[in-house]
Amino acid sequence: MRLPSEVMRPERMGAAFPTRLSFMRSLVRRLHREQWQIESTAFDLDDQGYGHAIYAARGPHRTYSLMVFSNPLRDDQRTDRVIAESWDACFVLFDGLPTSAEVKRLAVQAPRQEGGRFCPSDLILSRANRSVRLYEHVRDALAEGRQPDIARLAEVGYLMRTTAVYGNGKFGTCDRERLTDRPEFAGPFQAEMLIVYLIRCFTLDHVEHVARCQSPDTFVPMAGENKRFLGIGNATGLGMAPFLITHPELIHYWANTREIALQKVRSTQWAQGQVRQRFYELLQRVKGHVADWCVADEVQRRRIDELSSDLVRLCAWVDSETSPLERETPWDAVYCWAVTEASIECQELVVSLLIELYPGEIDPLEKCLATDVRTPLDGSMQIGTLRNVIEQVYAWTFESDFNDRDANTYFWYYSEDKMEPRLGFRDNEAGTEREMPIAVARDVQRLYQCLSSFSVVTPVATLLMQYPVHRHTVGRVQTIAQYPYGEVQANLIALGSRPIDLLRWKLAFFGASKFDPKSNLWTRITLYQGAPFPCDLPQLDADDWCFPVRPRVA
Amino acid sequence: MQASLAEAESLVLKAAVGAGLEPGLASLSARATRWLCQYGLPGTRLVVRALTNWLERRSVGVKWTEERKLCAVTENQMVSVLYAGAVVIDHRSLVRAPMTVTSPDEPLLLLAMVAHAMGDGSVKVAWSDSSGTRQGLQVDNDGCTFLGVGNCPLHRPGTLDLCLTCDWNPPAITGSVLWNDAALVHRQESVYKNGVGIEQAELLFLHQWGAKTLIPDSDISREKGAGAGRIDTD
Repeated sequence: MRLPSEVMRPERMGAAFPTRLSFMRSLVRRLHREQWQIESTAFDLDDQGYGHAIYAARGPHRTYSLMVFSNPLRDDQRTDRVIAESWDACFVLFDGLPTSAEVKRLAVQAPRQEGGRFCPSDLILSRANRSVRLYEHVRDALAEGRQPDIARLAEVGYLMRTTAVYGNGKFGTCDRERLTDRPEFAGPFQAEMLIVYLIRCFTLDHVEHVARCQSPDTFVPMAGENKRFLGIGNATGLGMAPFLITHPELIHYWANTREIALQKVRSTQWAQGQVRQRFYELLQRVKGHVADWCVADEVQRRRIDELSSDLVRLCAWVDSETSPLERETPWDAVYCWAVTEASIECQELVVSLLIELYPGEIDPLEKCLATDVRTPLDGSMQIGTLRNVIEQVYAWTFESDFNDRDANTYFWYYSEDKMEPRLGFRDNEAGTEREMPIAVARDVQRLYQCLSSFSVVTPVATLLMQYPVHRHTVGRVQTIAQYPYGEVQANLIALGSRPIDLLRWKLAFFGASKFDPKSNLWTRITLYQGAPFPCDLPQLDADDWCFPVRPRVA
Repeated sequence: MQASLAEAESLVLKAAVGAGLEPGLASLSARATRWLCQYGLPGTRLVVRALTNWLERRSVGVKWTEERKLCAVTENQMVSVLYAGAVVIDHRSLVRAPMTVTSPDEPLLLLAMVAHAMGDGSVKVAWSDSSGTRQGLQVDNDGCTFLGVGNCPLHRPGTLDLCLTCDWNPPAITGSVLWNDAALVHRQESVYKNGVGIEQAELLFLHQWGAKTLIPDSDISREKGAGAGRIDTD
């Protein structure tokens, strides 16, 4: 199995792709398996698309409602930053079917987002902005009676882009622990995944509604395959990164489960014919998917180009006379080929492809992705043991010399401006004393230095009574000793640090694709691209939508 | 304000850090607050009082005075449970006998800290009846048990792992919970349904101190700090 020292390095995390264990895939499988019924129960929008709508999602045990509030937004107010004050559309995932009083309440509160107050029946809060690049093109095309340009669809991939999805008690919404006994929400972020899925449904209905109103006589609905090719966008910044640092046990479960899945596939002795065929199909599909992956960022564009070239070589290799697929442990050979012959992007894409091949083996592992465990601090551990743990588990921290300014370049903080997470330069920005406790490498080094003044048999409790400042770090070290995949092995305050690598890793676990970096701190992504719509769920193979490719022009 | 449990925890964490408490201790207080709040107990009120005591130097850190006995590092002052909680938790497996904390400023918060830290999912508020058997906060794993039965407030030697001795009368809110609150266990569902009530003064305190973890906005921060343009759209 790949070790944490390999897997939890930012350069590899920043090359992650979604897998069949990704949370969106789990949700769509559930919607299909349990035959969820999703329908619009209110669609009170004017000709411009402003007003409110409700979508009811009925599962076997409960019903949830997406409540939509769509309002006019001036172009100069449309920004994806947390500091925005208004949005094209705001959403709440409501527990049950709302009464008219609840609709009225949320019509006031939802558009205020972080400034609003919510209650335990409000499960998730979100908002979205239209894609200026695509929305009007699609609307006008449909109004004029034609399908939108496929190349434009491929270039953007979504009509609206969510800019935050809040749950777990934020702003008064429902605490997660109240939902964990519901099977549909037992997995990680399943309520968040559900609202995003429903928002995607709304965006398509919305554009068709506005197009129809614009020109009822010439309007045509969007073709099903074009619809499915549109996902829902998301813009993500630094706010997502601290989660990876503050939830080490959960992160361990995610990473460890994926590695177990990969190892299961790599251990396969012989590949059956139909699995080999599936691999060939997926390889061809993924080549198309990567070809559709459009970004402006120079670094990412080079990586995509390299990935495309790697995939061509991979195809040639598996097709060659020395093809590994008919030999023993074929998938291990494929992975090893990627490691020795291809880029990290290709290696991680191969991981996703391999995991895709054995649903019967892999899908049960999705139960291993959730945990609420918190490791209690062990005050009886001796200083000598703690030193050994640091030397073994945190050896990577000693790669940084914190006397060197480059190792100490940045500090992470929350701004007074809507508490937007930001990154500052330590040397020339004020407020370093208020930095987030995210500099794990530095803090572990400080702890390690402090340990040298204690006898090796002294219990940690004695150290902490004298130096409570190290309590946070001692707890972390003990946690990671038990959950080794739970730590990002990088100095996150160093010059050259790329928080975007952490964002991509987490977003890949969600199921995001088409990563489109805007800087080292900010990315756009596409969610649910290729996923079946509610009407498709009973008919289509609801699980075969990974690595979607643009529809062929009729 | 009606808040969620996560909000109560987050407010306390930020305020404690903003007030200057070490992050490891702040998170301990925050989780204890959440633990109390989920049972309908006024966790935020207790932590606000504990932070105020500590900030105003009415309560201070702890030291061992004799084996298993903790008291304030400065004479004639109360023990700050913000520190004592961590010490008791860290020493629980080293001191295999009851520990005593002398004059903790907020005993109920201390109990919650310890109870939560012991928790592995089996921590419960135990409240069988009002006349005898099992009252008070109790942790049902590893023999860690804190009870409020008895005539001597906050002091019951014997089977307990922790004894709290006070030379002052506990505030009504603590006393009533420890001795006579049969409705305790029934409050949890109400909290899930309605949220946690946080009084305005507590909220103000928590916001004021929490704001000290934030950095004032500036042009450079706004333009460069988030990695996106001031207007970021497509």
